[in-house]
Parts: sequence; structure tokens; C-alpha cells
Amino acid sequence: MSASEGLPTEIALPLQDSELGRRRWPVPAWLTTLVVFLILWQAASELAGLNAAGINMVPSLPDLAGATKLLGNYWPGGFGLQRTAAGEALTWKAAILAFIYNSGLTILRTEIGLLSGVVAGVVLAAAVSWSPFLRRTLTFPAHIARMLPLLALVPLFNLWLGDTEPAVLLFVGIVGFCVMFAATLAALGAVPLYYVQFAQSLGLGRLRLYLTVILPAAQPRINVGVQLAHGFAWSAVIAAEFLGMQFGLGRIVLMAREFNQFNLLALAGFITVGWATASSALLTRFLKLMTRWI
Amino acid sequence: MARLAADPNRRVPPAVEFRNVTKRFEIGGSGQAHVAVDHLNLSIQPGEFVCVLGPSGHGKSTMLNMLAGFTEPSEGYVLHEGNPVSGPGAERGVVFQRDTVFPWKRVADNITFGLKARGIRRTEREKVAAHYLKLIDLERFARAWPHQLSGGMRRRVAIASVLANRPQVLLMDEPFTGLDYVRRDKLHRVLEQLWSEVGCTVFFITHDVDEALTLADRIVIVMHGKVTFEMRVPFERPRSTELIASKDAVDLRLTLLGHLSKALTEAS
Repeated sequence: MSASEGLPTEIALPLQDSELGRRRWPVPAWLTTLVVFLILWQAASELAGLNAAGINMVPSLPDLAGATKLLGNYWPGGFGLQRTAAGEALTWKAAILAFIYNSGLTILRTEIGLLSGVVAGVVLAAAVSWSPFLRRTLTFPAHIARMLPLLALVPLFNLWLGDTEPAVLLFVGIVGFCVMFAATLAALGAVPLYYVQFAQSLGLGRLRLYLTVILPAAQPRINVGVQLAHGFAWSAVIAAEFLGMQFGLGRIVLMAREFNQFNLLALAGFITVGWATASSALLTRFLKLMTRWI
Repeated sequence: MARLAADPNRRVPPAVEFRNVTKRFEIGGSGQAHVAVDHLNLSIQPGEFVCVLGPSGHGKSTMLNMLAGFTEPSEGYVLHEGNPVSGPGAERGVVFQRDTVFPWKRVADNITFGLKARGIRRTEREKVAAHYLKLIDLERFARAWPHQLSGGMRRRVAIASVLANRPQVLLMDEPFTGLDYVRRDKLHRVLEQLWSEVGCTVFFITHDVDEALTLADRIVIVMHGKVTFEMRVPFERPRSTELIASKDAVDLRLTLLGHLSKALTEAS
């Protein structure tokens, strides 16, 4: 049985738009926003004009459509297709495969790095909040780490670990960790004392109190931290791919800039924003599920 | 914990005893002390329902916090069954003025939360939950989230959560403040019913003289951190609205109000 089944009439549910006499816009709001955005983008393209090389300063929508085939240059080879650098012709098949491959790579790097950073940040913040010894020893260095200009550290990670997957994952993880450590500490510190006292008066020991009261009570605020860290992780992964990696959406952005391919640059940006938005929507849905009691 | 020497004339120690208790607080790091409870003495017998009346800021909640084990006395002893209170514990359940029902637990899980912490088996917990849900008339809401309930319903859940844990002493800090008359009256009935079933001692803080007359075996007035007046309530239970409006009850109300206003006038 769902929680809402059989609830009596004394529980007031919010009035629906139709009950308030409001007419709903027939098109989904996100679609309306997207269409308005594309119209504004095209208008900006017309207004910005051409640069000295005769290329649209702001790529028009047809420019963007034309750039999709260029993605084929970023297919590493396989499925019967060689790299274009090895003499293979630019095809739509290669473009589609490159879109899937580079997107998947960037998404995996983001989410794996983020997950490890979130877990590390929450666990360490919980440990610091739990133990006075850890609080004394770790809080100060952790806050120093939080104040570091993280994106500026990408070259350092590149020097330490080279152009490797662990370098990207570690960098994204550290970005996620720094956000989550601060957010979790703040969330744990904001748990109302009366929850703790009530649980103590029910006879809860310290560990159970922590796991079954303090952490769940802090969860809504921790979730805000996860959403923030997710946004930062996307910036971090693109920055990391800029410098070190041979494939990924960040690499496409870098190379498009190198070759003055404004249209591909913008397309890669749109793809990145699209995936970041989609993964953020999924994350929000998951976090809502985790706090369905709110 | 060492048991303090009991009064030789008394066979059973009081359920609760404040023995010459003082509690001082430092005011905002100024070095100045505020005396919230001042050499207070009070004994409450097992199973007794005591209502503590008094103006805000006169030490009632500090008494409750010391008895709950949330804070320690500066001087004197707070005893539970002859033993000094040394921290919070399941034998002293607390119902707060604030909404303390855990929003991340369903109603039935809230009610059995304390039992689960004590390792009571699931089948037993389910029986207890069903019993208390019936008593508080929320059987249909066992699987509901607290945010789906009204304020009055959540108070019922909070009381059931504490009483399901079978505390020896129930501490209540203005638990029905802010509720309308009808809901409060209903909750009084629920509380009396649960109390008669569990048989625990109740330490109930209120500002409301009528509430005290409705619920208490004994009413204690605390002013300036001291017990300034005590009175037994001579009425049979359950006490109806008509009884609380009767001449006898009105006389008692006037007596209580007289003491409250007299003490405040003397202080000013």
C-alpha cells in the first residue's frame, strides 16, 4: 500500500492548477525554454556577424548542425572504422560512434570521480564530526585544501600522474571531496539538538544515534552539497580533459579551439551542457527518492 | 552509580527527587551567573502525575532538563528511584514542546524506534506498534510519513513513541502548547489513557491552569527556581469539561492564579 492510500480528508493536499481556475500551458516548460533559447541563439548569431576569417562569431544553428559530422574526427577506431588521422574518410557512422564514445568517457570520468569524492567527503566529515581527536587534527588542513584554487591545480595533477585516467579521476574526486567535506560538516552541525535529545531519551547509544538520527536528519542538506559537487565535477572533468586526455568532450573543445572550429566548439559545449543537465536531473530524482519523507 | 542514603522512614524511594538542587548559568560569557533553579526540593511518588506551573523563565524547563539528564545540577542531587541522574536514558522518556517525531521514519517505525534500539524483536515491535496506533486512533496511518499528518496527530505519535518505550518517568515540556482547545482536550484523554495503561510517573510542565487541573494528581508552582506552592487535585478521573468549569474547580483555579500573581507581584 502506498503511503497516501486511505488518508482521511483532514490532510490537506495542495490545490491543482485546474482547481484554481488556471489554464496550463500546453507545451512542457523545458521545451518552451529550449525553443526560446535556440531562437535567441540564432538571433545572437545574426547580430554578431563574421570574424576576419569569414566565420560566424556565434555559430548559427545550421553551422552547429554542420559540425556534427566533424565529431567523427574523434573516433579512436574500431567497429570497422579507422581513425580519420589514419586516412579514414569522415562519415556519419564515425560521428555517431565518436559522440557516444567521447560522451560516455566524460560521463564515466565525472560520475566515478564524483562518487569517490562524495563518499570520501561524507565519510571524513562524519568522522571529524564524531571524533574530537579527528576534529582537532583534520579540520584545519581540510579547510586549507578547500580554499585551494582547484581548477588551477590541473597542471600539477598532470605533472604528478601524467596523461592518465587516474589523474582525471583523482582530480574530479578531490573537487567533489572538497565540496562534500564542507557541505557535510555544515549539515551535521545544523541537526537540531532536540532530535538528538529525543533519541537519547529513547535510550539510543552513540553509534546508533549517529547512524539512525544525525545522518538522516542531515541528509537534505548533504543532498544540496551533492548537487553542488555534481556541477563542480563537470567543470573539473572538462578542465582535466583539456590538459591531459586524448579523448573526451573536453578534448574536443580544446582541439576545436586550436583549429578555430567555432561551430564544433559550440556543439561540444552544447553536448556537455546537455549531458550535465540530464545527469543532474537524474541525480535530483535519485536524491528526491532518498528523501521521499520530506 | 552510588545510591544516596535513603530516608529511613520511607520504604520505597520517590520516583523522582530534587534534593536541594541549584542550577546556575553563565550569561553569554559575561562572567555573570543566572540562577535558574535555587535550592529546590521536590519529591514525586511512583505513578504520580505532577503538573508544574509557573511563568516562563522561572526554572521549570531547567528542572526537566536536569531530570532528563540533558544538563547537570550545579549543586544538590536530582534522583531517579534514589539514584543520581547521570545522563539521558530510556527510563526517563521526554515529550518536547517541539515536534520531535522523526520525519524520515514512518509513523509505525517512529513508535517502535526506541524498542528497536533496545534490540526488541520485529514481531514484538509490530504488536506494540499496532497496540499504540489503536490507542492513539491512527491505525490507518501506520505507513504514513509524519509530514502527511496534522500537528495534533504528530503530537499523538510523539507521545506514543515515548510511552511504547515503557519509561518509568514521563517528562513533558508544554507538549500541547499551540494546539486548539478541541485537539488539546482530545490529547488529554489520550495521555490519561496511555498513562493509566503504562502506570508511569509523569512530570508535566504547563502554563495552563485548566490543563493542570484536568490532568494532575498534584500541582506544583515553581517561581524564581523554587517550589512556592503545592496542591493536591481532589477530583476523580476522568475529569470532564463540566467538572473543570464547576465551582470547586474554579475555586482551585483562583487559588492557583492568586499564588502565581502574588509571587510575581512580590518579585517586582
